[in-house]
Amino acid sequence: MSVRSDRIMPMTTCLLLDDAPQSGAWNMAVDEALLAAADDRGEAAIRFYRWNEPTLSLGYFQAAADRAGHAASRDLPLVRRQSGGGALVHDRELTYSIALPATHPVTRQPPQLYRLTHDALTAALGAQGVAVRPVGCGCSDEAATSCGEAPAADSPEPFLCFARRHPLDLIAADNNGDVAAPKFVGSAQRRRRGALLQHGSLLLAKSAAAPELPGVQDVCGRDVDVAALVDAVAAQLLDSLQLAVTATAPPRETKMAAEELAAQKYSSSGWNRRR
Amino acid sequence: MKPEDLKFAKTHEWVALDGDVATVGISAFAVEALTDLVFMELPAVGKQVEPEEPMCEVESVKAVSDVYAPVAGEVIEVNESLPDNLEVLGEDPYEKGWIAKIKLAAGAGIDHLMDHAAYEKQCAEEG
Repeated sequence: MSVRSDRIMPMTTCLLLDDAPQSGAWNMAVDEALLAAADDRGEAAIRFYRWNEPTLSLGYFQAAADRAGHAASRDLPLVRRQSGGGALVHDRELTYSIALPATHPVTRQPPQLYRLTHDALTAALGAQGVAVRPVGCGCSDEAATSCGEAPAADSPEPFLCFARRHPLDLIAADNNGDVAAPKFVGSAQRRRRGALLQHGSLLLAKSAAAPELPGVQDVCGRDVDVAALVDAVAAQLLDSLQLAVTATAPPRETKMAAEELAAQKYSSSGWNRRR
Repeated sequence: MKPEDLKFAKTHEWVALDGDVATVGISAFAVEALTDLVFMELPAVGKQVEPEEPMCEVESVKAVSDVYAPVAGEVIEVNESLPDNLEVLGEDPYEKGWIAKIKLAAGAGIDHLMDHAAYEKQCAEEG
C-alpha cells in the first residue's frame, strides 16, 4: 500500500472526458483503464459519465447474493466495481471519476480527494440553488478529511451506498442538521501502487429501482442543469488539483485496455459474482 | 515479534524470516494510515506471489487497496481468523496480525527489503 504526507502541488497534465451513456461493463472498464494509465504512464483524468440502462454496481467486497434483499433493484443488470462501499443504482444520476498518478501530491493523503471533489460539487450545486453539506463526524475540519468513522461491528451497513452515511458524503442542507437528510453524493476509491481512482455519484432524482432514495429533484423541486454542473465541477477540480487538460478523448492505449477489460472482466460472471 | 527484528518492503509490508518461510503482514504505520479497515481478502493458499505484485486486498474508508507481496514464493498458510478480527491489525500488527506465510522461491532475493531503521526513515519522509 502507499501512504505519504502532503506536499507542494505541481501542475499535472490531465485527460478530461464527458462520456455519453454506456453499459456498466464499459463504464467500469474505462475507470480501471484510467487508473492503469495513471499508474503505468502518469496520466491524470477527470471523467463524467452516464449509464445506458439502469444498472446496479456492487462495492468490491459486497456479496452478489446480498442483492436479493433489495427487491426493487433485483432485476437490474449487475456490475462489480473496483472500489469499496455499498451498492449503487445508476439510473437518474451523474457519475464521475478521477484518476491521479502516484506523483500527484493528493495521492499521499487519499481521503483529501473526497473533500476536494465534494467541495466542487457543493459549489456547483449551490450555484444552482441546491444546498448540500457534508454529513460531518464531529471532528475538526482537518481531522474530518481523514476520518473513516467505520460503522460499529455489530451494526451492518445497509446494502445501498445512498442509505449509508460517511462523514464526507453530501446530504441535503435544509434539514436542520439531521444526518438522516437525503444523501445526494457518495464516492469511493481504489488505490493501486500509489495511484488513485475515485468515482462517485450525484443522485439527480429517485429511481424506480431504489424508490426509498430521493434525489435532488424530489427534495429541492428542481432539475439540475447537468451540463452547467459538469463545467463548473471540472473547472474547480482542475484548479484545486492543479491539472492542465491536454486531451478530451482517451489515448489509444487506454481505449484498447478498456475494451479488453469490458469484454474479459466486467462482462464476466466470474468477476461480477466473484463473491 | 519486535519490529526491530523484522524486514520491511517499501510498500509497507513486514517480513519475518524463518529458514525458507517468510511470515508477512502490514506495518503499524500502514495500518494507521489506512484508518478503519472493514474488509480483507486473504491470498489463496498455493498462490504464487512476486515482490511488488498484489497479494491480497483490504478496504477502508470506502477505498480498496492492494497489499503487495514483499517476497517471491508460494503462499503456504494464511491467518484465516484475520478477516473477522481486523482490529488485531491495529492492536498487534507484528504478531497476531500476520497475513500469510510464504515459502520462498528458490533463489528468491530478500536484499531489497529494509531493516527497521531504514523503514522508519522512509516512514518519516512520507509523513
